[in-house]
Amino acid sequence: MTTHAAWRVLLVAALGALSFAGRAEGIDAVVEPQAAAREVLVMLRLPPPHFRPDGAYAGGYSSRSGSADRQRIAEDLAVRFKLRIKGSWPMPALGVDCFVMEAPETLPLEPLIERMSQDTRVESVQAVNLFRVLSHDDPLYPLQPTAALWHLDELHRVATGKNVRVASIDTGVELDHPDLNGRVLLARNFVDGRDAVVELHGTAVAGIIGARADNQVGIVGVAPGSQLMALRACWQVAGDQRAAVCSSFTLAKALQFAIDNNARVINLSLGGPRDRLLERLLAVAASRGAVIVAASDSRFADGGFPASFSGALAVAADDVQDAPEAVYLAPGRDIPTTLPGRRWGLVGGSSYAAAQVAGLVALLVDVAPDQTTGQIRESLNTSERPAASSRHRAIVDACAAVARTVGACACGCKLARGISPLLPH
Amino acid sequence: MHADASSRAAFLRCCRIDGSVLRGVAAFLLCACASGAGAQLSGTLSAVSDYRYRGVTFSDRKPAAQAGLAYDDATGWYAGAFGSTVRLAPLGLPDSNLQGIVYAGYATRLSSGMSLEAGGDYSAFGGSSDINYGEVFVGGAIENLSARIYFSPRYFGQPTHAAYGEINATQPLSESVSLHLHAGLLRYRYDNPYGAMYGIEPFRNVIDGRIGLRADLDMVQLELAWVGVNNHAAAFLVTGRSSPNGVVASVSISF
Repeated sequence: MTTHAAWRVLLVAALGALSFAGRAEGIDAVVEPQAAAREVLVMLRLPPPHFRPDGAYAGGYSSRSGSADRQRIAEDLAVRFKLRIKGSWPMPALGVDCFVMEAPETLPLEPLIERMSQDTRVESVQAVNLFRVLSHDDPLYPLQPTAALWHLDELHRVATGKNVRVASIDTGVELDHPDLNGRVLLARNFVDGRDAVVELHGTAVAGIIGARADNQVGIVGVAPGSQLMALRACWQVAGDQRAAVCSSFTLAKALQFAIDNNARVINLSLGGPRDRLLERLLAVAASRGAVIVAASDSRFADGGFPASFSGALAVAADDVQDAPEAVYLAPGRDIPTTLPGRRWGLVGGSSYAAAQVAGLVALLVDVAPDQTTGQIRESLNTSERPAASSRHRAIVDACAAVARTVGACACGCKLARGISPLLPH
Repeated sequence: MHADASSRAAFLRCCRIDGSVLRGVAAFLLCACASGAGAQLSGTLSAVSDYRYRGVTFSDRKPAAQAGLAYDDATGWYAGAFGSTVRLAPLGLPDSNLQGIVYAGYATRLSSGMSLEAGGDYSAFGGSSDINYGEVFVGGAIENLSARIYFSPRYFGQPTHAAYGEINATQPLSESVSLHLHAGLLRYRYDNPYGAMYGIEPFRNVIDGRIGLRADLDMVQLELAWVGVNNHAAAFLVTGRSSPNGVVASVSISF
């Protein structure tokens, strides 16, 4: 066979192969609340990578090997249990491929999950839970900027969160906002296929964590030197831009991405019911050194999930009266931040309290990169207790936390500058 | 890779492949597939413009057709088989036009995200079983990086042992396109009877590399790669060909 003929054969083979590509499943991830109630997440085991000589090069690893068989198993499960496959996503952090399947309205979910969990091909199965972002929906918070309580200007002489990767798993972020332009290292949309989705909650949270400093406009993020990852896993509810929801599936995809990209801090300003899949992913993230900051959800006695996750730093706004004991309290009212449409405004709620703590954790990691979550938790523990409820762990004192971490005075300590190598003269 | 005639004859007497190894693995695969709860079976069909094995052309720089079948047990055990058309003309031996590889091993994923594996593979050649050989390997992978070391006591039937180490890296460029890098080092003993007299280094190193772009379109993979090897006559005694550096294209269908 001549070389020319060989290339022709290859081309024909390629075209033939492409005709099969139409089978590609869509990432049909937008989950409306009504639909989510009918969906289950089915996890199929993802074998660890190993020697497999087929393909273009003998001896290479292939990340996709076996995906066709898992697709076949999923299709077989869908037929057997009368489900419809809506999408899938590999989650190597857990060693699974996750399939979203929709059950007909006539099929009760709990017995279905029970039956599916007994199928030996299924690694695990669960219902899709919905989570909501935790912001006040009252637009009339008129008071002073809360960032001043933390003496940010002084803290930023010690640390800015430089090069600390902070993943904000939230709604879409206005990437070209004057205070965020160039501040987002990575942006991904795990909800749908659209680019550059701009939404309120995600934009506000991103600004609080990492808005640009010294640009003569707007605000200063708590960690303006951090590397932001804007991971869209939640979406605004139609007709109410302050309300947003997320699903187990979209959150799991975002968490997998955060793990893959070595996020050092993961902020989850959202809450909902306990979720086994997300719990497993958070455990993997924590085991690889990520500090997880989660907003406490007052709808749940334990703060909801992921705040109730044992490895998370749970945060509530300091005006919340009934937060669980383990929850940290941070400023939660009148927080100036970035808003869609190149605007700024005041926001409030546990979502934003958590975002501030996520920024603070980035500062602590900046000054002591090898800190564990336990050590950061210790740094955040202060003697100050909220007057209204002394059972809470602490009101977060940013200056004290940084001072504990660096072992020197961080705020209001001009006299100490001569003895602190970390402070500018 | 000169082979001493008497030692080669002895080796062939004791290690000639009569197909029993291949049949054994096939039987294992069938049994495993029949009984495997949570087990997975998958395969690929490929067409390549030039079959390069560790940098060396096995198809005389002509296209080759390939097929692979892999079985993954839920416990981490795996096994598989691979076949490819080849155009080998080993010196002093019959030509070969088919290669089959059977392999088995165990892989596990640690909580840190790292995967470890150990296994063995056996390569058999139709028409020229003298160059059949087996090897064992250990490897590890984390995120987009993997490495493996192989050891063969009779590399391509030669009475010399050989070790091959490889590092593979993958960098996603978009949702479906990724960059693949590979570097390998083959080190084998060269038992030249005149080596001591002429001061010939008894160990030889062959380095191969590959840089490729791969597009994953659901079940179809397209790849375009540059393959290079530092010694174009590295496996001349086995292939009967030289292996100049060049570009290789491939298309694979997973099933």
